[in-house]
Amino acid sequence: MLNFGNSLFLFALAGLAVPILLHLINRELAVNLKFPSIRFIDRSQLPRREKRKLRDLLLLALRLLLFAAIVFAFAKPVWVTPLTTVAEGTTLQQTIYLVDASSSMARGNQWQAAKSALRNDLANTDAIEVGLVVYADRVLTQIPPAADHVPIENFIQDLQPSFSAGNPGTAIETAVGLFNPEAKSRLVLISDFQETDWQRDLPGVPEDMELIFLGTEENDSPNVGIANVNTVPVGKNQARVLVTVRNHSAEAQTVPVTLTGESGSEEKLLNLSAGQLGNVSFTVDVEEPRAMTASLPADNFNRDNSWHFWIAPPPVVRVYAFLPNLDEPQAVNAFYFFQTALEVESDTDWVRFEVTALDRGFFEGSLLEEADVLVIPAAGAFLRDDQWDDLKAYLDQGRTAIMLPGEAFPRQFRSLERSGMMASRFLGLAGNTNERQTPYHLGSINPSSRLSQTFADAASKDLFLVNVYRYVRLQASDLDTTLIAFENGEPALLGLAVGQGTLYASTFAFDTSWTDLPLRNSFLPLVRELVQEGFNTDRLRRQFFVEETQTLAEPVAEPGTFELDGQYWEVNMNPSESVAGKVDTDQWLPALLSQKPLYANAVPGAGTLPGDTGPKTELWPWLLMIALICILIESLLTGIKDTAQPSSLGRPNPV
Amino acid sequence: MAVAYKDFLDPAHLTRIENYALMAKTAVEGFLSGMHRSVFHGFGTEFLQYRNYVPGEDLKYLDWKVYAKRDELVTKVYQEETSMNCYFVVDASASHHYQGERAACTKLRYACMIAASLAYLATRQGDNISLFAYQDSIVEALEPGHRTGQLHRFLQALTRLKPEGQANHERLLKSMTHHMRSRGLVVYLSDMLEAEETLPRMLQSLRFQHCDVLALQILDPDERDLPHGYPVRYIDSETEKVVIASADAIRGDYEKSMAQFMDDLKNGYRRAQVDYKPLLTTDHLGHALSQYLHHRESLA
Repeated sequence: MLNFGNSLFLFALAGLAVPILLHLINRELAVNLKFPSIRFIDRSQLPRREKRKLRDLLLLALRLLLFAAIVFAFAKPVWVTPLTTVAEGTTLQQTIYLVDASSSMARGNQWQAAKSALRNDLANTDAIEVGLVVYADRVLTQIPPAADHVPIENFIQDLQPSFSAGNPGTAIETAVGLFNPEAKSRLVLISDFQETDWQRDLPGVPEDMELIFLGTEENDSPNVGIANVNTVPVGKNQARVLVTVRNHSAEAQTVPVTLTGESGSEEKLLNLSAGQLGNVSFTVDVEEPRAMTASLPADNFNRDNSWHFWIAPPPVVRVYAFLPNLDEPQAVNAFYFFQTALEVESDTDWVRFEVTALDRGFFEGSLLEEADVLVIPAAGAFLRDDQWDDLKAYLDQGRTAIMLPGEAFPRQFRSLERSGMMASRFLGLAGNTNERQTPYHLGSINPSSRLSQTFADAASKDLFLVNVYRYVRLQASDLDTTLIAFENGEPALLGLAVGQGTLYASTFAFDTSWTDLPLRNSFLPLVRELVQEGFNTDRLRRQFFVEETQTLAEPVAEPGTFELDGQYWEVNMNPSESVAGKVDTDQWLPALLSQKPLYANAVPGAGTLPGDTGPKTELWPWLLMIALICILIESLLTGIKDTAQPSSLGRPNPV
Repeated sequence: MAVAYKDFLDPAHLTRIENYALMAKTAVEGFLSGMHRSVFHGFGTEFLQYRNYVPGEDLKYLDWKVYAKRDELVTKVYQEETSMNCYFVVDASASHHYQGERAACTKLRYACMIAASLAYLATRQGDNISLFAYQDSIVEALEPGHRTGQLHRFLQALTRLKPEGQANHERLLKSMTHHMRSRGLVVYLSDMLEAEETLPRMLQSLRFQHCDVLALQILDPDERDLPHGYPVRYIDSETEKVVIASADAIRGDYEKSMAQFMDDLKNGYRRAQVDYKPLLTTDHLGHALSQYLHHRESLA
């Protein structure tokens, strides 16, 4: 089979007309020559064409061949030997069926069609051995090739698609690995070839492997699915449930969206344009945590018609402040400001803070384990070495602590350095309380932190107007993250990574003798964001897709809600499985899998693809050799033509 | 590799020298130095002085009387009696633009090379040189003279020539006779095409003005044998008339006609007592130079 790498070059064959025209013109026109006198030159009959016809035709043919050879050479012709001829000598023939059992296969009658296709091929295959690989997000089942077909037939009898998204890459690798390298291999892919599954990184398959794509039938029945459910607090003990629905069909749809819980159900109609997303909201009470389901009426694909979720009161974040010495006014002031800022009830924050002050016994008891966030205001200097170790162990678990300096700041920062938690170097103190006329100002916020989003644009102006009268100077290290810096570039707030957790270290106390920050509007959002940056408010509510739970200790096979270890689990089907788009199985996918260049004019028939071809032979070197031979013969012929007429000389320049 | 003197006279070699002065000097000096026994040692008859004999000098100038009296070998040196006007007439019509495959230069270039060489030789011998170049009218005219700069002006005029138009021989003759005031030698350079009837008669009339005429016909080798081996649309250089022919088919007739033309020309000049020498643009310039010297000596 002849294929071309650059078939566009074939258009240049139209240029074959040029030599023909040149020959024709050459035959008709005599050469113009200015001669001193034509007195003795009589008009004469031009030589009869037949005399040179044969040689000229030969020359013309040679030139045409030369041009055509060059054009074909540029078109990169490749001779592809059909695989059947290559593998004729092979005796062992193996077929492996790669069956897609992702959730999207449950759409319409696709699953039955897939099983029928498998059975039909199994009944008609010439393969001596057949195998099976069933996959969803991972390989679910693999049956190595064997002569006995019965186990496969039995297995697919009761096989049902999973609720997971599909990941064919691993399955293809598994299937290819099951083939005997000596056998003539045939891989049959049975899938809906959904684009969200197949547009991933796919492995290549051996070039001599026969690839068969058995796609399931298109089903044009309309499908509307729930894409997401989101809950946001609305005032006290109430939340708004926002259900996002996508219309996957090509026609506008009006669907009732039903919200069902223990206390009953509520239904709202939603109009959706073709292919568009739409939202419908419900307001529900959230006094107690309870499971709810958003659902749509049955349609072509029922699996995306429901979404399970929890509705629960805002989680409580326990913030413990370590106050070993209540005589320290800066510590008390900082705690007061902190407590005030965090305990302000917000209608929009999906979290509630409980701030508790603890004394010296804090590190001895189990209270440390209960703290979601630990605040150490002006108390770092009072920690003993073992308490530093306890703090480090606490942070290693992924917790968060906030440390503010006090009057004993040198000891605190040197301890931070000594404990290895801070790589920045302590330099001393900048400013003092008596020089309030020249306060320092904050200059920049680390753009990669959450704080930069909170204090974006106009909101940042107030923060940059904060007066800082004195602060602890640090020589910042690249190992520490500077979240907020002064105008002179020195760090104002450091994020110190300690194990899995973070220690936020401020270089100035939240006290009016150090700064007026606690009196500013910026203080409240700064403190709340700082606490929330370290504390994952979603950790009480676990949201997963089915396939994501496979990596957890408790894998879940079907969507649903449940409570486990005080955490509320929501497991749903990945909405990407609702997408109706398919990949091109005629050219794009076969080319991708076989990792071979795609020849534009090599359009394969149904089930026969570029993948089922054998060795290729590049033809352009032969064409160039033909062109060279043409040039040599042409030179020879033209030489003979000239020497055959001794009286003739080279043509003078035409006038 | 040594260059033979003949190489200096080869048009293929000389045509590469753009400067006519250098070209003429190269040709003439090469020509003279190559002569084993020169007979051209001055054309005057008035005795000027004696000088010691140098072995190798021609013995005919040896004064035997002095040898008899004093037993000394001396030769007589003569001063030219009179200087002669040498008129060079160059046909610069369009037909002289032709250059065939075998020729190294056009016919006009060849004619100019001959004129330059002869003028150099004439100046070297003390003759006055004059130039008339014409097409349908005279395009360059230089009065006879031999003073400093005359040769330079002569060569400059040759440099300016470009082959154009038709040759009008009769108008030339009228203009020339108006300018010629004394006897001399006329060197006529032309391809003389289509003028075998008129030119001998016209040049003969110059003899009546006590001028001796040397007619040098310049032709390209192609004009002799018509070598083109392919159909050609021949365009007459001067008349722009066109005829399409295959040279292979007409070569025989053409050569006969051309030979007849040459014979007619030769006979015409003989009857007119005009020296005639046909030259091809591939011929050495020595042919023209020796023809000129013989002619000049006969005048002396």
